[in-house]
Amino acid sequence: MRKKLTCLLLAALMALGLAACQPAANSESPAAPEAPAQTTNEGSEEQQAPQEEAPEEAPATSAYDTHLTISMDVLDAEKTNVTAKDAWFREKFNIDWDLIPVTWGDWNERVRAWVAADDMPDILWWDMKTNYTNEFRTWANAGAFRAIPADLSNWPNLQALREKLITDDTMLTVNGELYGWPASRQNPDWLENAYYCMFAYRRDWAKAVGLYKEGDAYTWDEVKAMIKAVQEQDPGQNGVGNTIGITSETWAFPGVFMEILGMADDRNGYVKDENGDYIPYFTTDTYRQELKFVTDLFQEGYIWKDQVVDSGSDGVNHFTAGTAFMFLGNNSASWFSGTAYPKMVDTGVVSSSDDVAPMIVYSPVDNKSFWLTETEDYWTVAHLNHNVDDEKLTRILDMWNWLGSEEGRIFSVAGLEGQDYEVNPDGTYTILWEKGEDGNYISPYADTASNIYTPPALVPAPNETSRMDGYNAFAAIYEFMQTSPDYHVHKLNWDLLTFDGEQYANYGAFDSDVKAKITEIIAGGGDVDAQWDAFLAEMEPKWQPVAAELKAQLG
Amino acid sequence: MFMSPNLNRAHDAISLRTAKGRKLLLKKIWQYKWIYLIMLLPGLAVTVLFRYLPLPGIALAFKTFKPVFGKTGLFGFLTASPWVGFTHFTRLFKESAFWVATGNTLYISLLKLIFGFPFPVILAIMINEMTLKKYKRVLQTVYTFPHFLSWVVLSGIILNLFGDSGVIKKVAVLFDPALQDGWNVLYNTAYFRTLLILSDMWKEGGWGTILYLAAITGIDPALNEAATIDGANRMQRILHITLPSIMDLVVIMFILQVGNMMNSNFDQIFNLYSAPVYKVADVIDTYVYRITFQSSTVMDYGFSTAVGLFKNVINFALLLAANYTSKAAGGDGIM
Repeated sequence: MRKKLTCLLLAALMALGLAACQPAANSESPAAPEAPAQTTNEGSEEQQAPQEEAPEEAPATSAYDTHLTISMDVLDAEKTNVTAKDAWFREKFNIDWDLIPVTWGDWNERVRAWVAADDMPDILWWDMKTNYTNEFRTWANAGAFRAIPADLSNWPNLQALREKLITDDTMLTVNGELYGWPASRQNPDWLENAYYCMFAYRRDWAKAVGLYKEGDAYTWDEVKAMIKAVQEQDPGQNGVGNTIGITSETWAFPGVFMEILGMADDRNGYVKDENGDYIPYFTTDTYRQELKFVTDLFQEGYIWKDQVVDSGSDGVNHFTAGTAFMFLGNNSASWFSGTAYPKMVDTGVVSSSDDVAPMIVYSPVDNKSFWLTETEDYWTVAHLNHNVDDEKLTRILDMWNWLGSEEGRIFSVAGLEGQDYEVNPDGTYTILWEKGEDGNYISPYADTASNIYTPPALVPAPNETSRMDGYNAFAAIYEFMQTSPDYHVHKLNWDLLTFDGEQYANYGAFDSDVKAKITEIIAGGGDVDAQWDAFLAEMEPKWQPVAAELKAQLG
Repeated sequence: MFMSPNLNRAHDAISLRTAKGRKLLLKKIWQYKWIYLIMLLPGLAVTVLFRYLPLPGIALAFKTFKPVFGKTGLFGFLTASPWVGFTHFTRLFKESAFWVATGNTLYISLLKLIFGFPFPVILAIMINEMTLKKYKRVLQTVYTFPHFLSWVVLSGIILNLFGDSGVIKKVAVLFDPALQDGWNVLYNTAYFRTLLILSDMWKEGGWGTILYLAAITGIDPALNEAATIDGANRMQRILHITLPSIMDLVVIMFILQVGNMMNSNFDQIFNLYSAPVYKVADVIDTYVYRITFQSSTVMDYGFSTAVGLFKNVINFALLLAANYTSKAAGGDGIM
């Protein structure tokens, strides 16, 4: 009898376990964690971040009768869709979100697996860069995605965005149909869609060792001298010799170190040689010189030794914790405002935002030119699952179109009228958030994420709620970039990026192999020429068919 | 022999050699069917879902994967993907990285077999010989604990210990100041395999002792008592009683490990390795992962499947060889 009871109990537990694994019947979004308290400026009480509650300015009724659940993959899912602002948005569009968490580490891998298994969310949002173009085209040709209507007259804000974009027509249109919506960066024209892979550095330490230069622009020799001086004089009090020279984002090492050296104009995967034949860029002499330069930097101790094995965020953490002198990453003005200063100024690592600044490092070729690289004119791409029906398609486009409106913009950067901002008679806004000692607004949404609103476009910055010290830090650099003949951008070869050849689709420019080899050489040191020659000899039979295909089809 | 759930009743023992016994077995199964069925279901479901249902996918090794969308059935992609014969294998055998990965897989597994396999046996015997029971239990817990940490966590600990800012370097620099600038244990090809073997022994050694300790506990104490009376010392008792008594288990574990040689510990290597040590640490599993998910070109599941199929064929051959060798040497096999 006791055994039977035990077995029944076990069976009940199993059934309970199975039931617990079932998705919630009402497909509610993930349980909303309580948003953490935000500390306001001195003398005020702690203020609780907005909770999931009835918003003050909730629309009386949604314009939509049918309630829809829309699935989408997002970064920071646990911090997403948790505020009153989010509840207001859901109510406005009569939707619920079914959020599927992804992380930077697994994002693209999961997207690839979902597509292969035909198990995509309604909105497949991902960090699609140019090197995924062929794969995207394969998927689109196979029918993975629902096309975005060519006639966007019902969604004028989206139509306006399309007119400004380049990549919607070049990269994301297959057989005349647009199969992905790029989240436009909305960059100013003078930036030429270059992205900010530049250094951030400790200006205060540079001053402390007497090597600071007005304008934050240095040659590599000056940078090396500064690193050695900082390590020896130890202004950061990390212990003599313990301060790390340069750290970087994991994805930036070692490729971006080589790219910003500005040794060649054309750094696309394949370039034309003097005979007009395509050859991989990695086979050129300039690539070899770039490799040698970065190998020397690493072997001489300027680059952090563990950069080779870092697969997380240790690089940026060392910089923001005050143990590294320089950091290479996507260091835009908004990165300074949103990441560096909150982590360094607000936590006392540095005493003011002036102590941390963006840095120009001139090309070692002429010690005066400064290079960034053109990138896509968008950050991410959102595809629509082929199963998305007309009603859902319309709702999604309505949401995106609204987010592209002025009302949607102020919603994104501030929040809800009456709660987060007020509209002035002249049409400007008064932000209702409290301000800190430094005069910056304290956002009640600071520890939440909002990538569900990202797909249509990034919101232009700076805006009403931006902390301006990040933008102020770029004043001299913006001036240089807009006026100096020595500012250059490595241009992308769009013909190559959208080339559909079979060999090119299968092998590309052998990026993975090349990255592995150069990392090995940089970390191991030794005779760079001998190692590189051996690698090139091994790779030549592999890239020849790709080059031949490019020559035959691109001319 | 089949024992009914009620083990106290010796007369319930059923002989399967007779028709009567087999009939009795069926009767007993019928009698207790609901218990068996409940217990069987989860395991059966997992086995069918993850071991048998994907088997048709092996055909992808001979096809070029084409994604299909819409209502195409479970294996619609197989129909849509065209046959390419042995193309993937031809390409595979030409890839130098594949042969490096195969060599590393076998070499690392061999090292683990030589150093990692005997370790829990020796540890189990040492623990068994301890007389202070409380201390013995504490030790067992301490040795077993790392097994319950994932390689993600452990690799973080190892990377921090052996990294440029780690404690090990700080201590090493005290003895040799030149190491301040030359420290590179985590991506030095000369040290990396040693790091893999030692960290694996640290993590799994204690867990591996559980089986052997259970087997040692089952040894008739009278044998040890008789040997002690006959004047055998502790080492002699270990060599002539303990070890022979657990040898059948050791052989079975050995066969299973040989049969698993092509499965290097993916989690461990993936979390610890980096590009500079690919040539000594990239194993087939990490190679497949890289070409499948981390390559910047169009994903080719057909090629990945071909690599996986090749690996499993070798694994199966090794398992059969080990089983045959064991039987030929007069021992028990597992088949």
